[in-house]
Parts: sequence; C-alpha cells; structure tokens
Amino acid sequence: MLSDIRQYGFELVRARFAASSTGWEEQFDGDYQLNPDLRDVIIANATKDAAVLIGLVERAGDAHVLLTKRTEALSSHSGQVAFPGGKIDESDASPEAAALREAWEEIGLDINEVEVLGRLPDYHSGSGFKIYPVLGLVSPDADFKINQDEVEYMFEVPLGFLMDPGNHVTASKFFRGAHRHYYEMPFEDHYIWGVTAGMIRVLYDRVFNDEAA
Amino acid sequence: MAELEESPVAKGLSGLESLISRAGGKGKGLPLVHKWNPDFCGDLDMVIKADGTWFYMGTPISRHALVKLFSSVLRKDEDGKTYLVTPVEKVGITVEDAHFIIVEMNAHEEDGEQIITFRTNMGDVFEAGPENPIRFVTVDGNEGVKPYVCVRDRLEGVLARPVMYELIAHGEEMDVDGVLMFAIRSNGMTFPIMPVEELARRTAE
Repeated sequence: MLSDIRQYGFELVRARFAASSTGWEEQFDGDYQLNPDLRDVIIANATKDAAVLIGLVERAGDAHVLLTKRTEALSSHSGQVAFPGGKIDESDASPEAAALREAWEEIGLDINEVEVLGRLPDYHSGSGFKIYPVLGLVSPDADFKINQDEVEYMFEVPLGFLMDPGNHVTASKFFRGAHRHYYEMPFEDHYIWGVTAGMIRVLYDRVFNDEAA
Repeated sequence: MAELEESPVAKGLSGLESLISRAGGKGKGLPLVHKWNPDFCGDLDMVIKADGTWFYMGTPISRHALVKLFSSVLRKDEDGKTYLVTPVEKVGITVEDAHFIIVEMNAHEEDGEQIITFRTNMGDVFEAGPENPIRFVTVDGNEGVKPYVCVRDRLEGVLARPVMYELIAHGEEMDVDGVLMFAIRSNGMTFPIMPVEELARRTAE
C-alpha cells in the first residue's frame, strides 16, 4: 500500500513551498476549521505562544516527517503524537529559534543540521496555544538523541502518506463541554490526531493540495 | 392505570423513584450515569419545559425532591436525545430548551482572575471554565441573546433573564481577530459573546 503513495523529494518540497508561501503573515488556521461554531472561543483563548518544528528528512529521495510520541508525564498533550516543540520562552529570539531549541532538547537535533524553509500560518489550538509551525529540512546525516523525560520515541512518516487527503479522517468526540471535530491520520501503529493532524492538514491545504495550486 | 403497566417504567413514577434512590448509592456524589449501559426501554411522557418545570403525562410534578432525583440521572447521549438512566433502565424524555435553569450567579476574584459561579434550579453549584464553557445563542425576536452553560457532560443550563443581565454586567470588551467582541472571563477562559455593536443592538431591543 505504501508503494502507491506519492514521493516528495526535497527539490519538490522547496518548489511547492516557494510557490505557496506568500501573504501568510496576515493569515492563520486552527482547530476551528472543523469547528466553525467554536471559532471565536478558540481564537480568544489561544494565548500561550508555542512553536513546533515540522522537520522533513530525505530517505532515498523521499521526504519523511519527524514525529514524536510525548511521554505521559508532560503537562500538556501528554502521551500524544506531536512535532518536536513547546512553549516559546522569553529568551527565544523568534518562533524559529524556539522550535529549534525544543527540537534540540527533545530529540537532540543539532540546529546546524536544519535548513529552515519558513513558517506556516499560525495555528490556534483548542487547548489554548497559538502555535507557530516552522518548516525545516533536516540533513539525512543528522543524529538524534531522545530525551526520555519528554519523548517516548520518535518515528518518521512518508510525507506522501500525510499529504494524501485519503488518509485524513474526520472524527469527533465530546470533551471540555463541547462536541469537537478533529482529524485522525493513523499510520501503522501510530495514532496521529488533533492539533498535530490539524497542522498536517494545513500543510496539505496551503502547500501540497494540487487543486489549490 | 393500565397505561402505566404498559409504559417502560412499569410501576410509574414511584417505581422509578425507588429504583433511582437505590441506585444512587450511599455516597454524596451524583449517580454514575455515564457508566451504566442498560437497554433502551422506550420513551416516557416526561417533559422538561422551557421554564424548567417537569411534566409527567401532561401534569407538572410538584414534588421538588422528586424532580431533583430525576435530574440526577439525566444523560444526553451522542444521538442528541436526553434519557433518564438507571443501572437497568434507560427511558427517553423530552427537553424543550435546556436541562436546567441557571437561577443564580456570583462573580469573585482569585489571584486577579474572575471566577463565575452558577447555581441551577436543582441546586447544582459549579464554576464556569474550561470544563464548563458558556456559549451564546442569538435568537430572533425580542429575546436577543441566550447564554447556555455546560453543567456536566452534555447537560446544559440556560440562564434565567435576570442572571443573563447580571452576567453581562461582568463582561468586558476585547479584540478577537480584529473584531471588538463582548466577552466573559472565568477561570482563565474567555467566552466571547458577540460583537459589541450587535450586543448593544440586541439587548436594547
């Protein structure tokens, strides 16, 4: 089945991102894409600044997305699949700096092994975060060292799998006093959903959706 | 009372009452209705009216203690329907507007943070916040705006008019995505009501 998915080399990723990333400073996305009735409350409460690294690494000419499984001990989004990332500290010079610092702290990724392509639109999460997603190309020679306090394990998913809308399932459940809809993108044994799946969907909508191009 | 013998709750209200009383257990908390999964036993001719009164077979239930007991086993399911649930029975009832009426509120501050506390007509007291969000529904006609608050699970309370005006008195204006919105803060959460302009128009009507 995986042999059917589209292959994305770094050159293609660069070209697609360059062709799409204009005017995003004024735009944003969020969990309200699937929950329009909750839009105002999500925006009004997305007050904690955070940054994540959407890191792509080329394996045999095909871009893979770096994802982690967070430990159960963390205070927010514990036990969930996530991009490396976290809250922006006052000492962080920029969201990019915060995303790279978090990637270093969580998976031991050296800042020199990452070429930052740019950012996706800000993402407002229903859990109260305003997330700056930073898209970066990671050297295939990069070493990783998992911080066991924060990350249970990391894994790689072919970008082509995640950029296939056929793998984007919408689901819903009732929590925090409202019926909430979200994306699920199960990959092998990994349950990718919620905010992380939402940002993957934004990457698809804004950069890789052929119909939008 | 032949019709009662055919109804899902064969012994009528008193049968349901004693069953719930036994199921409620000895503890002080509410019955664990979300853990019970009995078969659906049909609909009961019971209605929670828009003003919060409960009717059984067209007649108001006058005993408040009985209504309170029933309200403790309310459950709204994914199908959008409301049930009375016991370990062995699940009967559908009709809700005209909301499960509860919010009859009183209080606003106080803790560490500079406003906390809104609500009380329902059944005596439940809770704070608005992440798990108990307030939502605002705009209605045409002279009702303007109606605030609802999550009491527990999918159960909601609608604010009585005087409580709504008191709540609005504790609101503030804030910018949401470039629009000046009127909003209520409680327990660290912000609940936007509607654009300031629109609220002024609706509450004036």
